[in-house]
Amino acid sequence: MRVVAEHVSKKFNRRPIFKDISFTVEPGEVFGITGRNGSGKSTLLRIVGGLLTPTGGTLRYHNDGSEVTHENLHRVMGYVAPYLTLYEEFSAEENIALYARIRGLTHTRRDAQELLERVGLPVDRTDPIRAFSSGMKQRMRLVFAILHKPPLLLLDEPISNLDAQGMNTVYGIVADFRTHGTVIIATNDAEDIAQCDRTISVEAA
Amino acid sequence: MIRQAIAVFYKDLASELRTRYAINALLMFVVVTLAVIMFALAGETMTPGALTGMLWVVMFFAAMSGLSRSFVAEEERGTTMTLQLLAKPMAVYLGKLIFNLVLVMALNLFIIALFLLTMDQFVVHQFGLFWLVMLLGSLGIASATTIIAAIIAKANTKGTLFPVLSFPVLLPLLMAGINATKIAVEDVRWDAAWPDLQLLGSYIVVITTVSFLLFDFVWKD
Amino acid sequence: MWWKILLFFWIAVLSVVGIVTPIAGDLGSVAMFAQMDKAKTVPLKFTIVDRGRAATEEEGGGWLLRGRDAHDREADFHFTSRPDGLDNAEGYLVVARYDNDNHRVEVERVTGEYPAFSFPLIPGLEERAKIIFFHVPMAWMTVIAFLVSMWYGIRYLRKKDMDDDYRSAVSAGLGLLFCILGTTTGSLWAKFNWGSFWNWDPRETSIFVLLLVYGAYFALRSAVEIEEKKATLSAVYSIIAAATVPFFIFIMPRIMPGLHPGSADDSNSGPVMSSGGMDAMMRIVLYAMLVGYIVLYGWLMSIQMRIHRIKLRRAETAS
Repeated sequence: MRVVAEHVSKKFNRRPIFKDISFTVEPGEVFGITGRNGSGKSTLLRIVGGLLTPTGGTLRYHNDGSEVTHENLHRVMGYVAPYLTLYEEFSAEENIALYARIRGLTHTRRDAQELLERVGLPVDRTDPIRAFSSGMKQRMRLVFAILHKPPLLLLDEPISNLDAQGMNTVYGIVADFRTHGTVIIATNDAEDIAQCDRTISVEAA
Repeated sequence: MIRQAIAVFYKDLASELRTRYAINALLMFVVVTLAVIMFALAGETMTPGALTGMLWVVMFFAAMSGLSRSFVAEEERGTTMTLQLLAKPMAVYLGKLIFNLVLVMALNLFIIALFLLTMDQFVVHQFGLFWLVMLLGSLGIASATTIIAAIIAKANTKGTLFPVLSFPVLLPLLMAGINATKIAVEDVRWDAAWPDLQLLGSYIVVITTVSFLLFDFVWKD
Repeated sequence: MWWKILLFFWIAVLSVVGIVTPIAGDLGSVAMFAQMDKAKTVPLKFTIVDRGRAATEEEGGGWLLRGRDAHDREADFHFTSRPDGLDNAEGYLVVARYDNDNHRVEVERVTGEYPAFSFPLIPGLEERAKIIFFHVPMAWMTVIAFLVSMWYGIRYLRKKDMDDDYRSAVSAGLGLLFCILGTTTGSLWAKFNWGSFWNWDPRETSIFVLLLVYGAYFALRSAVEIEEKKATLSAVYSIIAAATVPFFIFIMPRIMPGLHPGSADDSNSGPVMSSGGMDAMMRIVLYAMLVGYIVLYGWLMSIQMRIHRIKLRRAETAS
């Protein structure tokens, strides 16, 4: 998956957050977006994820040589962010079943349990994820992002709220993506940045 | 896309059945409103025409208190982004539309049943026409309020804004609906309601089409 | 600069012309009133054909002369005394009624000389017809401003230019102002013509709905904080509101009786608005007034845009 951003700018209430950001992320690359708090890392990541329309500039996505339209972006992309809330009235397994259903995936209970094991969540909990700790919720977000095996993974501060084991899980997933996908991480954490092949600083742009 | 939409609808339905945020309160709202009407009109002789107006008033306010729920809930829980990441805007809109449709039909069925049971003076002469008007009315209310609910979900004062924005848009539907219901109740020939039925039908088609075209702008930040 | 002064004069002169120009009927309208109400006197203008003579005792005294109205119909006019300036007068504007028994016009009093310009006497409206020069352009401006607002809203959705959104909002604001003025003038007219301030006739209902739409539009705008979102949502709402307009046009005449001219159940579509039915002079003043209002609207739009730009520049230099 290749992501090409050209002259992207964003304004909120006419106040420019950043302007004229251009970069290309090649398949198999782990790309980092850095910048101090409030510089617009998350905003840029949301724009890359198609969740926010940029004020100016364009974004293009290529998967296996064919262009992915904005409308179909959600199919080829996983997104993890602390501001992402899952459906907390459902249990972990119900959540997975729900996402699979909306995405039109055939997903068995075994697949769901394998996913939960992979991110280090208990497979036998049937209570709503509202009761989960913040670290467990973060793991649940990882499940949400990789359930449909997307070729593009966007991570916003992925190791927030996670312990050492959780960090290893995240970096394990990132390592997996090197072989078959692309990762973009918005972060200031030194360990996250160490995972990246290249970084871009938002304020420098 | 239809399958995606049905999955979104299923999610909303499962969520509603799990939490019962809306449905219990809505049923009680209907009961309370009807009780107020009955106390206010105790001993009065009401014409069926006036009672038709009452019926639509109850239906309108029940819709106003319930139909913004599906979008406002996403926004309040902060799950809008999750849904954006899961499905196409069109599928989301269609799913919510189906949910509102089912909700408003269930609600109106409940209102009509209570109305027929409690208001002795409310006698319907042409039940075929009556049910057809109720069906089209429910469809119209759902199609107009779904896009407005999507709009007000992004605003600050969601609760009060919903009826304010909905009323001018719903007014032609209400006028045609009340007119056609009166014809069904007062036993005039059935084809007298034909223009109203045509209007209800075209209203549903136009509002749904416009909503489909504009939903993208509302849904994406 | 000069055109602004011209605009002021344009609207001021038209307002004065609209109010001051006398209403004057012809013999036909006087005869028509006589059939409805014998004692009712109406304004009437005529030119003198024959300066006449003093009337005899049997004829009721005073002065009798022969006059001709604007449609070349002639009649005898009876004055209670010899009118002033009879020797030089070309004609008179009088308040009079038709006497069916004596087949002559009884002049109650002389208002003035024969006026060069006058508006026709419209039965049922009379002097009240003059409010048309204010009410009708305001009602039209309400609709025009809404359409302009929606047009800029659509442009914003296509180009995402915040200036378009501001134009849309300013136009809606002016539309709301015209809507309130149009409703007030119309309501006053309705009170004196139809007996109550509000009758729920189709056009009153439409302007009421438009008032609600404008109200909802601004309520929505003030409830959204992020300006880009505010612009998008208000544009979408105005399009949805506009999409319901054809239904109103279709449904309302079915539900409620029309009082305004041009209503569905009004076969002759009224004396004022139907094409050719309205007096040429009245129509010229009305359309000239509308042009004046449109220019005024455009000017107010451009002033608001300039204020907006200055504010933006200030905010930029401040930060």
